[in-house]
Amino acid sequence: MNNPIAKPVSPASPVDHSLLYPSPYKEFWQAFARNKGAVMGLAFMCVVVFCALFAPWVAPHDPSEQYRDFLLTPPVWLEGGTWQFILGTDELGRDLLSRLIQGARLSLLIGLSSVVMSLIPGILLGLLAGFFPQLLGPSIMRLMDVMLALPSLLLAVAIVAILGPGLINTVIAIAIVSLPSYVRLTRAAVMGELNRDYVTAARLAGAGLGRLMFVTVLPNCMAPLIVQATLSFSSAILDAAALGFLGLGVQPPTPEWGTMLASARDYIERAWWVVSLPGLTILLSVLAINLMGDGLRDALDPKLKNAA
Amino acid sequence: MAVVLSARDLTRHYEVSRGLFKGHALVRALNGVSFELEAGQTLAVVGESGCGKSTLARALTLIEQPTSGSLQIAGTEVNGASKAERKQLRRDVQMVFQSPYASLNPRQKIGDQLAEPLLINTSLSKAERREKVQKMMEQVGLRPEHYQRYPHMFSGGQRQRIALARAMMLQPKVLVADEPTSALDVSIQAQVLNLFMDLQQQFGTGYVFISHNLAVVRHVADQVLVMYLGRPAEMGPKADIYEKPLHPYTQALLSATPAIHPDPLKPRIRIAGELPNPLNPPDGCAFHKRCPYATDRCSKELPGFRQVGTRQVACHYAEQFL
Repeated sequence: MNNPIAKPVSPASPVDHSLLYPSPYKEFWQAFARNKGAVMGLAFMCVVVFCALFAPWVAPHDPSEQYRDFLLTPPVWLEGGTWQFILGTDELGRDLLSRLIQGARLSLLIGLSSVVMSLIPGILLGLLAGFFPQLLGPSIMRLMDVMLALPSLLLAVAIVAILGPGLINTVIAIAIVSLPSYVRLTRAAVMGELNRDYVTAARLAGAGLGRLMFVTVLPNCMAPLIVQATLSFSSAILDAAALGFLGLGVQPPTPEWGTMLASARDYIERAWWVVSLPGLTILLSVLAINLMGDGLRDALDPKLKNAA
Repeated sequence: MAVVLSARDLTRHYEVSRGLFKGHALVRALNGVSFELEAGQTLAVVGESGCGKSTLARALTLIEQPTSGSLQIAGTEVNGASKAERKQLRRDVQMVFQSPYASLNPRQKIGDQLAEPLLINTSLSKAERREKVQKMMEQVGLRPEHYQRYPHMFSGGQRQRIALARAMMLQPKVLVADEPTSALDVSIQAQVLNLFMDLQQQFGTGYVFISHNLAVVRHVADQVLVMYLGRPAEMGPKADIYEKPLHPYTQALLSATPAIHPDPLKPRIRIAGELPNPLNPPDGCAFHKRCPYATDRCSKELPGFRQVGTRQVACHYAEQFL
């Protein structure tokens, strides 16, 4: 019965591939790959993530090892640089390249987890606020207004002070501080979409609340959220650095980009690379993520991809 | 023929805020509308903007609860129905919207949108749903390869076909069409209207066709309901109403329809003034301030909606126009 030859495959009705859904992943990738900047951003982030995952094997030195004879050695392409320390050393003689590679672990973790931890609750609260404009919505929004009214860093410091210093608490504090912007963005977009006829049509088709929220309305609200998420990735890294600087975040000697940037500011006149290289790394990562976010937003917008 | 939709004194009032110290005002958007619709028949609802046509559509499709009055869908009373019953009733009334550009989800493929009613309301497998969707697409004149396209790739007429296909997926007993052709090119309007009528013949659906285009109504309707300021003015068979309108408002409305060869012997009836403010409707007949035949009685006594010959009219002097 399962003999493939026995199955009549008439040439008159071959499987028409234009009628089949292309795999959603393939379709997404085709749309994403059309954006060159996004692909470059993705490539850069792949390198950074690879370095972060395999830091102990990629890094040429132990990031905490202090080479006392090589304090503030310049990068290799400057006078006085050596191939032993390709990007030079910092004020304690630690290899900058190794610290950057090792620091990618924490910085990416902080950026990613704080974005995820504020994006998901932010979207949920925003959807609830948009769908229930009578009582629940205003109460959520007033709470968010209170959070917005406080200076963000001060609020983060207060939260860390309550929870106690440490990496996870830093992430939680940053996530809470950036929550209101997601809630506001989501609610605004939801309220705009809810009055459209296609939402009414979905209601008439019998769609329940969950389906209306996540299948009908949310995909139409994603564009500003993606942009906001990629932008807040960078501010999360910098906020974490600020908290670390106040002694509330990641503590030395653990390498982390923001902390490296903050702790080396005394040497900016004598040894620019100690400050500039971590700064440059943050800049490039943020740029790469923003490019990826742009590509993601465009790839998810059916109007911008020319399928079929 | 079985009655699929019956409304008795359907009323919908809205409370609107008039500012901080003024208290609420009551807008009687829909004020005692009654009709019966049989399977396979089309009831056309006509009237100028603000007469309550769209409110009627929202009440019929259960998007909004009527303030009072009774609504029966296929013999089942809607008021006081349980949640499960309402869900079942909701399947039976579907809607096609005015703007085909706003009524399709821009992020969902056509195939998914058409399959959504089936996905929610039936337990068909993916392949069965797909087959049904493809069949319906064929019936409304869409090609199979349109299945995986997004709404923005279609023209207005095609989108309205898609919207119609989506509304028909569950084979509802009643279809409410809220000015379905007013956003389309004239050349496309006829095609879409004919498609509406083809599907009606095929499925025996009862249509409530809301329009302010009297030429379109003449093409599709069996019964015509003329509304003015939330109240029914005249209701009856299409031929009678077009032949001899009894309500002065219907007369004015019909005489305002442009014709290619205007009859010089038929003077155009002009009505002065504007639609009264629904917040503050006039006493007596709502139309008396614009009516060329208005008398003292009209400004004092609200005319009942009564049977005159084959139709119902809300005018004290309807018999004089017979």
